[in-house]
Amino acid sequence: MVHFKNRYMVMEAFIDTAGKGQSDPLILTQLNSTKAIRDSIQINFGECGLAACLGSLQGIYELYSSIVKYVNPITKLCVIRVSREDHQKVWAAITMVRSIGKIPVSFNLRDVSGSIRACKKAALECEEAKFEYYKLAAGDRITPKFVETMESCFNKD
Amino acid sequence: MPELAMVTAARAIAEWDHPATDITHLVTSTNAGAHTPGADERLAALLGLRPARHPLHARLLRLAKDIADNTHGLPKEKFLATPLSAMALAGFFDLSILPDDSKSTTTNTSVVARALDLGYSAVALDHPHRGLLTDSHAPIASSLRVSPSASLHRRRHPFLQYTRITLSLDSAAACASALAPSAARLLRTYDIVAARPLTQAAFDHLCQATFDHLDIVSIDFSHKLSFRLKLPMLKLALQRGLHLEIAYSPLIADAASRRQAIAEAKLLVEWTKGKNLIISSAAHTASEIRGPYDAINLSSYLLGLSTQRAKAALSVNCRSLVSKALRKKHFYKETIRIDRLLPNKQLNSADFKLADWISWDPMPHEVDLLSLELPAYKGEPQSLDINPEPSANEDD
Repeated sequence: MVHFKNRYMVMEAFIDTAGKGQSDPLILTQLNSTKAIRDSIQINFGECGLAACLGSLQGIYELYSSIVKYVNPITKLCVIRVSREDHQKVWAAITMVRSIGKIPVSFNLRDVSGSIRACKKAALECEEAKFEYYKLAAGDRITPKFVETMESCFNKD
Repeated sequence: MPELAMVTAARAIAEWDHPATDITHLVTSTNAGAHTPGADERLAALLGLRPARHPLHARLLRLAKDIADNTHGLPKEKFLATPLSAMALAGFFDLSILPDDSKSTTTNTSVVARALDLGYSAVALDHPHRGLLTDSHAPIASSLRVSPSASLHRRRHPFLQYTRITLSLDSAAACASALAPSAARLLRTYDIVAARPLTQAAFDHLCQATFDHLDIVSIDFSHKLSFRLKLPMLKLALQRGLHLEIAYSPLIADAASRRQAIAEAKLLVEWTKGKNLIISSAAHTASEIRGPYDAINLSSYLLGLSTQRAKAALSVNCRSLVSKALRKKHFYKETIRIDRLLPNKQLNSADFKLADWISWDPMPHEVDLLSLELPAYKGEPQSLDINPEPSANEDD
């Protein structure tokens, strides 16, 4: 019996590069994206809002179980798990995120699903599409490393 | 659908038995509805029934007859009457992209590129304007060149860009002068015309008086409103077919503008219940625009709109607004447009390509072709008993 109903959201982050620099000014990690989302919930929905969202997801180890489950720094895709009754609130808070640290970012939702399996499928499709695009854009990417990180992150889940 | 239209046009011209160059006028008319039934059965029905049973087509015939009577000197005047119906699925629209303040160019290409990436099907580039319109304010028709491989999403329809102007009006007199018929020529160069009232008098006047060219009433919610929204005025505006616009960029910007925006926009949402409401981004930079589903969720969660209405506010309402606005600009009394064909223009079946229609009516639509000929203008008694009603969505 499934007691906790969740929603898994696949989001991509758009980072506005100030110049035409090749290297990304910001590397997305689980920590900094989680921090940005939590700050946004706190600013917009207050302490109680934050507590309500994290309450069902907070494990004993506070640092360990974060909201953002999977981040791919190259394709900038994140998978976020939220409980079903709070997912619209968290989604609105994510939409209102304007920056991570000093760098302006914005999030765009690709897919919402109720199971991790459907979410994985959707995320894989998005990543493949983006990968095609990157291959067109720049020929010299460290391709094996990227595929490796993708697989490893998914296997962890 | 366009193939079917082409085939019937070709057949009609073949039956007609005159060289195609004899066609001197092309009279086209549009059907008001976006929900017409299947085009093939419609075509069959139209070809089978007499023309006068359709008030729209009867009007068309009468107008064609009037033109024929009044233009002398041309030996044989043949008319090809073609009604069109728009039947495409609504994509997502972002009807307000503001020019970038820091750059000097008038079109904001980075925002448009971001909108393309995010999955919008059409955008409108806004020119906010205060004061009198002069000729120097005509829109510069530079839009982003879109290559088909540019976007990750598979698109069924091309990415469309419209031009829009937002007039900030601070008194009833300003409304009257800015939207008067004398300014119509300039207003018609923009695809969409919006007005932003700054005072109570301006808001009341906009809602009450009928202006031909006004499409949207947009209120800037990021600052405290200096006037009140009144329910009877809103009802009048909705009756006249005006659309009301809410921009979501104040919700994303800093806390103060968010507070103002939610407080005022909630009232508007409650009173209109999402009818004739459109949601747009009012984005200056690419970081202020959000994807369509994000915007839907944001406005539905924060403003109290239901998700279905919010989605409609971003897609279907915008689409009907744009098609209405374009019809106002290009068609006479929203139904009939007359194109004079030059004598050397070959009117063969290849000319009825979809690209031809799209070049002047930039909405993705399917063309439903009824070809009627009027060889003799005297002996058509059934075309003369016309009820001059506005064009109906359903046929008899």
